Amino acid sequence: MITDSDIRLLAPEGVLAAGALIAMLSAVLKRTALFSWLVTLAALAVSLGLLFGAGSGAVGQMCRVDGPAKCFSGLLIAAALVVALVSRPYFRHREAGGGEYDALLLLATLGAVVMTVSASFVAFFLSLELLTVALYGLVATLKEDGLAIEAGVKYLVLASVSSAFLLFGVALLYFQTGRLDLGGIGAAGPGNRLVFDGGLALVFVGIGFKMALVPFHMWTPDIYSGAPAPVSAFVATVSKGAVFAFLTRLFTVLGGAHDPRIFLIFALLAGASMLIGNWLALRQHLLKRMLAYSSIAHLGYLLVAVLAGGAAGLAAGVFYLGVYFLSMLGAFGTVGYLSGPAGEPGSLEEYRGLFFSRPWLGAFLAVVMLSLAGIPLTAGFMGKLYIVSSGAATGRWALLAILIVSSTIGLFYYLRVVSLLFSAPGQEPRWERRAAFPTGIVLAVLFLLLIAVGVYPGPVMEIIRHLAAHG
Amino acid sequence: MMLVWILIILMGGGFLCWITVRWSEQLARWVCLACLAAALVILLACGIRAGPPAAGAWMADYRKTWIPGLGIDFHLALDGLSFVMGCLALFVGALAFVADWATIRSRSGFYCFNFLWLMAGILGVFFALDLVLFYFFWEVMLVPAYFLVIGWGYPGRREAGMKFFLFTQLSGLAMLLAIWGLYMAHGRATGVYTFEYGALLGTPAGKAAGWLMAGFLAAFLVKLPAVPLHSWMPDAYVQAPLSGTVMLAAVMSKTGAYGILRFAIPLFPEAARSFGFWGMLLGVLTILYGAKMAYGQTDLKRLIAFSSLSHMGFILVGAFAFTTLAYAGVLLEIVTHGLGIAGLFVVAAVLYQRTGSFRLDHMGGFWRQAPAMGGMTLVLVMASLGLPGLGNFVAEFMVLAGAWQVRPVVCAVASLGLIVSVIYSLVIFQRVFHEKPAEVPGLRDLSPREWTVAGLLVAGLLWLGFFPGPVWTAAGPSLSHLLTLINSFGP
Repeated sequence: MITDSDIRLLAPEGVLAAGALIAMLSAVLKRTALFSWLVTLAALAVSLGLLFGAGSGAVGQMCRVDGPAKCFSGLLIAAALVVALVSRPYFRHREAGGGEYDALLLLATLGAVVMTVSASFVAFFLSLELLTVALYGLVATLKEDGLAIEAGVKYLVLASVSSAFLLFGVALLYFQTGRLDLGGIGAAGPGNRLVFDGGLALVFVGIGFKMALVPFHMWTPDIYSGAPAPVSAFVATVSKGAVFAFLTRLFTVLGGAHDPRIFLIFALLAGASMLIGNWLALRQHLLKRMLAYSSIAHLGYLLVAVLAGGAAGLAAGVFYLGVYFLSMLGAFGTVGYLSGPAGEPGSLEEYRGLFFSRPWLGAFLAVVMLSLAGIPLTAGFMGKLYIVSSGAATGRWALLAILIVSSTIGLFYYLRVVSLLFSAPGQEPRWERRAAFPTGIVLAVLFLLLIAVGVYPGPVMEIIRHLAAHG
Repeated sequence: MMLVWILIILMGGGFLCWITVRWSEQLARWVCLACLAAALVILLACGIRAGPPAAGAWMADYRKTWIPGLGIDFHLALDGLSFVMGCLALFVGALAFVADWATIRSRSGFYCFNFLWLMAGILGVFFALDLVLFYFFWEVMLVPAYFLVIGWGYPGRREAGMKFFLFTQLSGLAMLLAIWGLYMAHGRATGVYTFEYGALLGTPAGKAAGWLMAGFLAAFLVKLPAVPLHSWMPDAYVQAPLSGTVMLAAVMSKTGAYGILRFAIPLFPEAARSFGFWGMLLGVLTILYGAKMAYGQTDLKRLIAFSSLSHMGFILVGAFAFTTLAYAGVLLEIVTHGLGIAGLFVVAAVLYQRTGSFRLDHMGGFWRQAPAMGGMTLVLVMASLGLPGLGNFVAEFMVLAGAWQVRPVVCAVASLGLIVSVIYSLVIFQRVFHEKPAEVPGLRDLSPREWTVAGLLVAGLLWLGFFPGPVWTAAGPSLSHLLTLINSFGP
């Protein structure tokens, strides 16, 4: 039975679904890319607005709208909005990016947002598939590009396998506890340890794959470099962020911070992701591949906040996720901004001297890199500060030590990009010269946010704390 | 508020230089110099207005809440010690900027920007009294320094810059963890979670104190640098442009010394006392190793870099001796080393400009062609080898005398460094200005600009050699205050 309050609670998701339908219909009836683009922007903006109007509460056993879920949904929708904004200029040179692209983008966002509120494995699995299936299409949007098709197929195969793992894990949990909602599973407790732990382990495999934690990270570089820049940005931010949101909920319900076995599993995943992600990024020569490995490491940092647990850990996690979104959207946004009919500038060498030919863009990319590296005056530094603070509060010193060592390894490749940006320009680059509306404005806003949050993070943190506590 | 204005002038000036360079490179340089001068004037005015400082009192104090949730404040304050450090940084920094006036030709606007931001970071380190703010400035000075090295340095600058950045960043992060550990320990003990320096003094950290101090020391010993954490130093000093080298060697290294005196020792007095012997031993190793390496170099700039390392050892020996005499020596060593090493690097850069190389075997017999340069170098070399009448002599004598009161053997071994320093310092002078004349047609003597820079540095050294009193008057009370804090814990 659907009540008024259910509709109110799920209004943001409803708007996204309606937007997706309209965009899809418009693609069938009359192919005007501008219309569906505007519909996408409007749906995302309205959904973001409704998010803060709706109260909090449970919707049956499937979904639960609460403070943390709202924080995550807000970030995800905002990131999707940025991706939508930069998509149109990016695709203007190509035979793609019409109504179907917008519809898929909205559907994927819908999946991601539902995931943040899902309180049961049914809702989780449905939203995950909604997100994943839409992503197959998004990754392979450029139908003439062999690499993009390859990336799409690779994602299809690997994601299906991981979904199978996840489903089997859920089945085992159901077999043991007779429940599919997280609260019920947490309350029923393990019972037969072997079955329960086996089920959890398989679920973690599925989640680890989506978040690209080491050792389930193999797909990331190929997908990132094969997909168009805005889609890579979407995969790096919205898709990973949504699963991260669900993971925090699952972790809380299972009491992972107090269960030494679950804790150990995630500590190992976090440590391996931080170290190996940064280590593999060292040898990359393509910017997008480098960012892929960098994002693996950043998910590791995020896990440290989850492992720290408590309200402080949650707030630190949300804050860091937001900071990570800013940086990743900035990096992929720059790649998109520089792409023209000749394609994207791929290798790091192509960014040589960017600071001198395009000072603002070069400075922006340098700030993004420094933010990813966690250098002060950028948002990334404050994010690390909060993570260290939450980890120190619960005494996770070993994880913090790994975080420090691995972020020093990370510095190496971020600095290499920065030093290339400030080198004397080499041969004539094939960058797109014309400014693209509205990408330039979006990048400028991201630039301001990266610096502002880096200098004065207090208000942002207050908002997150307030939202997380009161919904 | 004056302290905030100093930072605003430097940081804002950086952007102004970046803008004005569109019209004229000269204009940007003058703006940069004017900002440095204005900052120095404000700082001096601050000091003069406050009068002779009393122990444990602040000459200027500015505090605003920054990140309320974590108890982080934007807290700047000035006492005698930070006043002397700030004046030294601005004075030497301005001279370094002038010395490199004509050699930096490309991208002047961005160069001035980095220079001013580096200076702002350094002054922020000297002023900050909130530990997170301190760490913040500690990192802020890192990025512009890195850009100075990779942007305008010599051919091996990329690797050198990377090494410098990684060493400093890793050790800095260790300090960040230690800061957090101290914060938690203080919060658990008192229920007040704060990063305020005054509150954290005397935190009973128990067994963790040693680890926490190690985190702080890691950062400071890398910056100083001290053996065995010095391996970034020769490359960075050699590959940086002149102004960058002077900033690294004469000014940034002092942030390490300042950190030891202000934070590492007073925050963990007991741990520091039990580490005392090892600290002095590291100092002695640094003195002897630096001196030995300096003696073996054929590259003038590298030689000076290692001699700088050797002198930093005295600071370490003095800092862990915990006597008033040694602390007075450390203070003077900080100032005289800043002036002297800057002078030597200026001479090296001038020689590079004339001969196109730092190699000592490409030089020789320059006295006849460049007597003014020779004269200046002679004074600087004499200062480096510790001739009475020049600042270094007073400083190193006081450090050794202070160390003698505590550990005579350590002191005796450390004094061996003085002998080697005579040899390597004389090598500089002999190889460059005497011996067989090298073929450098038309070797110009110092230009008026270079003459002024070197002359001011030499004048400073002479002044400190004869009248070291004023420096102690300014910073003495603060240092004595810190020393009382330390010595109130155990013997």
